[in-house]
Amino acid sequence: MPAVQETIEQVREIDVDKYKYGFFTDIESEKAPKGLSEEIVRFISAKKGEPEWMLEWRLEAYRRWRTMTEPAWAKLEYPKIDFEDLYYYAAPKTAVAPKSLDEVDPELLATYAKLGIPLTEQAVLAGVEGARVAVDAVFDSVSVVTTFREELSKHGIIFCSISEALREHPELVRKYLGSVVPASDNFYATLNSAVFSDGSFVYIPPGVRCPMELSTYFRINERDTGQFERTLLIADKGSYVSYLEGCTAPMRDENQLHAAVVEIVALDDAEVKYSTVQNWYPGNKEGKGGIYNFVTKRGDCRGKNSKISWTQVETGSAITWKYPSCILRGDNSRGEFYSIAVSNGHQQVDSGTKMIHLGKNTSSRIISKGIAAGVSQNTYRGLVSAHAKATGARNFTQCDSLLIGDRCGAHTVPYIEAKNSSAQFEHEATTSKISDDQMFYCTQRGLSDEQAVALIVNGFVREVLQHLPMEFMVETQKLIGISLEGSVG
Amino acid sequence: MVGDTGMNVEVRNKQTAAEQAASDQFAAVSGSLPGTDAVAATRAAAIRRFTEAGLPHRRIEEWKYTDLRGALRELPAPAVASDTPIGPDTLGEIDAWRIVIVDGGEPRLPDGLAGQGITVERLSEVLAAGVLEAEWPEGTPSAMLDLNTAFVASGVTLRVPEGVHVDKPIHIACVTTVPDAASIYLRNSVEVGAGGSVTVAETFEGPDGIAYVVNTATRVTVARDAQATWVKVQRDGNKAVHMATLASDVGQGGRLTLAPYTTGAALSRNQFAIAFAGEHAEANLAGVHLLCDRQLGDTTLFVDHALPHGTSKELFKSVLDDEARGVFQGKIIVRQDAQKVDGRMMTQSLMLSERAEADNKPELEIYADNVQCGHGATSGRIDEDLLFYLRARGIPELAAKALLIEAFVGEAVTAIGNEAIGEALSELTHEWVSRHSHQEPGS
Repeated sequence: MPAVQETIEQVREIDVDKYKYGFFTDIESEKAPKGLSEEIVRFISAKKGEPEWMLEWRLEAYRRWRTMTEPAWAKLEYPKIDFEDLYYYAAPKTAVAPKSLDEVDPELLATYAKLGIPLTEQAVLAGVEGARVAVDAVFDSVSVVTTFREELSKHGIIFCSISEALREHPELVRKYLGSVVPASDNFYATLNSAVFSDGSFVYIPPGVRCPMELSTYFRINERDTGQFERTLLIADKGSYVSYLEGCTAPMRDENQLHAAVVEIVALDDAEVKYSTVQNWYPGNKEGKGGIYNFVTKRGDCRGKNSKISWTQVETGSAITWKYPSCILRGDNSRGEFYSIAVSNGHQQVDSGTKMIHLGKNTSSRIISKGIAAGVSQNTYRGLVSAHAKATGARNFTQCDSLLIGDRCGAHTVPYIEAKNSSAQFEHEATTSKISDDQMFYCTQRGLSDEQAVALIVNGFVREVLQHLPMEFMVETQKLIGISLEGSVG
Repeated sequence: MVGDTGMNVEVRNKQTAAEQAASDQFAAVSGSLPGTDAVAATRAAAIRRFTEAGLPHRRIEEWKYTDLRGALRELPAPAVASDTPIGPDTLGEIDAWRIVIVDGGEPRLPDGLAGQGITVERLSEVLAAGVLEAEWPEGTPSAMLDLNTAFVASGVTLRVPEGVHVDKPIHIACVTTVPDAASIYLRNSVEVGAGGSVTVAETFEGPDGIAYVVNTATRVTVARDAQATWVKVQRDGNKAVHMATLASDVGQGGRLTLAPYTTGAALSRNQFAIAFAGEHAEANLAGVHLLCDRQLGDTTLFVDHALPHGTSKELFKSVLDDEARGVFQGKIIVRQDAQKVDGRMMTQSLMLSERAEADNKPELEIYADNVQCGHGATSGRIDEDLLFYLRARGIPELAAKALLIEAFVGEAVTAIGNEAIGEALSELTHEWVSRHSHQEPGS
């Protein structure tokens, strides 16, 4: 298909190079010296005013990390990361923690306004009732502001930065931190345990249905910094929460590291819905720059009848290494994973999930849609396992890949391990391109090639789109369009 | 693919007893192994590679489910060839050209095979001519093959000339009769000339209760427009370890069917690789695992589509009873130039007991956009609805179960496309099922 003029123009407008969130905010910041040592770990802990046990926890993780080697099993190629050439702590230099929005640096607020993140509560309140979202905004290493706290606290919901939680609710943090992703879990999680600077903390008390969507917006701003945030989300018995996470970063030539950990605990009858739109800077069209995204996300369905649902839209990052997982420990618990991973340019995605069935009558569902274009590599890697005691476990997995262009790759690597005969697992995967029949059908009805592809791709990912909260659905459809348009024609 | 993952690069641990035994045995017997100086050099290089790499273990991705290093405690010395005249039990009833190899001794060839125009050479003759292949295609793991290259002395090489259709199957019966633990190394190969066709059935059987080790390497070459079916029936003894490496390539318009049927050995590993050497070629795999007790059966397949218009179809069925473990790993790679490839893989496990384990890893690695590839994997126990349907029609529970298991396996057996062999395998399935269809596990 020769590129039509329209395409060329559109591509010019929304090229990978034209990453919309690629601006840099000139803001004074405070950084720890480059490199990693016990001193840096102590420095971060001291900066946060953490209790002694937390420092010990970090130091233990640090010492263990020193003995670990980087995992190399993923289908990713990148030059070795020099962990000594990074800043492990960067914070915008504002006085002490802001008490209200008025004290927040206006530059920062402007940044979030540019990103379209409503931090000013009034602005949100003025909007449609029901579309309210409480936001915890994390800028480089620190949380700058958390909105709607008062209203949330009326319901007994704790939503704050994790540093604050460590000060205000140390008993909760101590009880749950590292209980899903232990400090020794894997190379990147251990690094995160040693140096994590901020992130969000959520606690939903028993029987409470969180009245609004909770959201974190992460932004990497500083040069050469790694961002290591840690999110801990606890849904007590019978509670419900929907949590959104979004990420962006400025355009830079060098690669930046992002190694986050997200832990979710769902107790009896609790339900957590965790949605991510990951749109870190993917690098330019020559593959220069971009975020290295090494993330450990895991949910523990600890109580009976609990449910954790992961929905992710991955369009950004030069490298994505991410496997949001569910440990289905409680009887009748349920895990879900819905994913759209779009890769274009030189992006490399190795993502998937793990569903570990331990309890009786646990069920899980995996729907993964990978779309590879340009010279990108897009891998689904997933594990479904049933423990010997997981009687009646059920899984359904569907992973479909769509290839656009003949220089990209789409790969599927499922591990299906059944140790219980009553476990019933079904897995299916397909890889194909947009068929000529489909194109013909659409173009014959007067759609341009461009429109036809957009329509077909939208249909391809529809099953996952449906599971996104409304706020993200609109953003996602746009993002997919932006991520792919350079590849069509 | 072995050797390209960073995980293989790690500090070697102390040599295991089996690894040490391999070096010691080689030092002891290398002087008496058949072959020219060139062959001896190839053998020496192979054992060096083996000593450096050691036995594969679970830290190597391809061996994640089968820890050969941990499982193979001892490597018995190469068997002393036996002259006992013995015929095979397995597929013994089918009308075939029968080649019998007992305990890794010289193959006994049937009369009249040459009349078919086929060339049959014993491996010892091939080695005397200075030929011992050590470099196999990508996807063929080296550790087991290196061990085979170092010690192998027996096997047959079949050549089917252009346009020749062999009238009945060629049966290579590998029978083990050793009274004590021993290692048996075999290497069989078949080359089918352009437009020719042949069906080969390789069978393995041996005594229960003896910890012998079979290490076999097989090459199947299918030329342009030729057809080959390679059936491998493994019924080794219940204490045996069976390791098989098979590499094949299919020429333009050629068709290859591989049919591994595994019921024997305490631990077995089939490592098969299929490469496409021409366009419009077709490769099929129809495999079966029937495992019980504490057996571990591992079939690992690597299909490499490097050329356009290829078709590959895989159907793999595992029936697992007691504490058996069935492993199927299948990787289809479609390279950038291999447009219009059609690849389909299906793996299904039926678990008859609470404590059985099924591990499936069907992989797709695709670099060409104009392809249709898919895989499916299921595992579970006998469908209660089907059982109910049959019982409602007056079929007793055990008979109904047996019927369902046989039908489940039958799908793969039928896919082999040879009636006589299909019938014989169905009979083997029937026998196995009769022994293993019992009351609801745990009840």
